[in-house]
Amino acid sequence: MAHLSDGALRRMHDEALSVTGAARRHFDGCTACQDRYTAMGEEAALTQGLFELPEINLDPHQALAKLQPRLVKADSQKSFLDPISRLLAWSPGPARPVGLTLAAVVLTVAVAAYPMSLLAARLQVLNQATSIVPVPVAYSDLQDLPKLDTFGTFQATKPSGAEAASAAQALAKTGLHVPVPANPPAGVARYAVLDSGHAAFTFNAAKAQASADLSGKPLPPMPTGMDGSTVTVAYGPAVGVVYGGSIAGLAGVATASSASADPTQATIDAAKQLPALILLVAKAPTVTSTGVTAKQLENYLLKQPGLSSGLAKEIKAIGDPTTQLPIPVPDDYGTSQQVTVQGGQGLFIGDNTGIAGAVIWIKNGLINVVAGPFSSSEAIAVANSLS
Amino acid sequence: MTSQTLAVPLISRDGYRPGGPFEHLFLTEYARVVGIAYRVVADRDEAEDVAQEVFWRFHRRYPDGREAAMGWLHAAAVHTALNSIRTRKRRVVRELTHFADQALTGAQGGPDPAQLAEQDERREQLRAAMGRIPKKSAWVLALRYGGLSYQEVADALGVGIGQVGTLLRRAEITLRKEVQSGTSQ
Repeated sequence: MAHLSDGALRRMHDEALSVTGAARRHFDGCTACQDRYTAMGEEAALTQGLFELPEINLDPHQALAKLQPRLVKADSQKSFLDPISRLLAWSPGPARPVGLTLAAVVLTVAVAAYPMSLLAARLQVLNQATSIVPVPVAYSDLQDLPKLDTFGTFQATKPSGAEAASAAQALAKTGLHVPVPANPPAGVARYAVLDSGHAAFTFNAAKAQASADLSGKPLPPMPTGMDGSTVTVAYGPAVGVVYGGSIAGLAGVATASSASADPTQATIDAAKQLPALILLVAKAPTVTSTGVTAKQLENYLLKQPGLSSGLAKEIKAIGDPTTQLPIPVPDDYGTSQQVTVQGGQGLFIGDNTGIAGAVIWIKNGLINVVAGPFSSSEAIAVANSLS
Repeated sequence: MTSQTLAVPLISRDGYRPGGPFEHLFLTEYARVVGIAYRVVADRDEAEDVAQEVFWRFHRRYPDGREAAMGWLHAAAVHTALNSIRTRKRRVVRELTHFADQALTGAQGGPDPAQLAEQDERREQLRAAMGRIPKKSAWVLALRYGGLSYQEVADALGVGIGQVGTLLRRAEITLRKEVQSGTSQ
């Protein structure tokens, strides 16, 4: 039998029973392995010495008491976007997978519009967005609305993303072509793919009534057909390519406003890590309903207590919900403008600091995104150069 | 690739409940999370600050306090601690306070201030070295010397248990070289 590996010997030093059977018998009869084991133990002891720190006595109950007010306060401020925020929540890791971050980006574009997309549902009819409409939203507008899960149950598939070795592999996995800019930035291009998935919401009149009774704030009765009806948003597949920088910077920009006490500074910090260019192509999301109609949803939403007149006006202005994809733009932190891109209508969204921007448009049933440290004209120029 | 159905709990169940599963998890895991962070920041107060942040984020992500997310909790402890040693402002204030305490202790016949200063210097060397070595090395060292088993380290890193010994061995060599090079400068 071959000698034991360094890793096996190192573990054996800490967990003596980890080496068993033939490996153990080899070790017992092999002086070379035993000598390496001894040397490794001495070296481990030296490292242990480096980590020797004064003993500390902790009081977990006191620590919990310190955290409790923050937890209680956060619960009272939950927004109806929280289920989606949780899907996009920060993940620690030595290296954040590009695919996972792509999933977050796609969801930001396709599913962050979820509450607005409810308006686009029609009885048993697929909705396919062909254009984009911005809906300026103030964070305070959302906070004042009843929480989404007051009305029923939210379920979503976990985004399933992965890196791809090349554009060809990304195409093979998704059936989508990765666009190529006329003048790609310097640096390594990294590819990622995202499988299709869905987010579904099922209305529950009894639950809404129970929430209303509990809070003492009456809600409007659900219209006929809404109770038990499920509205589903299907998204993906998607492909993306990132040139240079750190893709984590984009997710940071996307979530900075909700994740930080100082959103503007957090956006600036996150943007410092932005890649030079991000290109994304995703199948446009579709919305289906098992019962409720678009008009019923719109009317029901407009009757909700706490709906600001500004947001009500924007919802009414969405127009034809069967062909338009509403993209909420948090007006405290970002701006948007209608632009012409690749000969059609598109939307430029920029953060208020002017550091980062993205142009979004729908063409041939696909959502296209060009993002990076761009002004609107720069982003449009890149978008028009894609082949 | 497969999709996994993820039921997002209701807010009524999400909310913080005294005596609930999150509280149980906090009380049982708090010392380990502080222990992991302590190996990175080498400062008790800072390690406890890190633990507060980690549990706060954990509650936002897993409000039901599920134990399957333990790997996330431990990984978040290292991640947040490494971020913490990059922001020195609060620590400088603490160290000035600590220095004043030491001087006072020495004047009152307590432990030798020179010894304490040497101890602090060693801690600073460790902290600086942990900030300089490759992230994966810092992760495995903090997790293992923070008291996690090989299986728990593997879970937090998302690697097979068979890899942990190799990663740890390499990381130990890297750290010692880094500390030595920092000392000789």
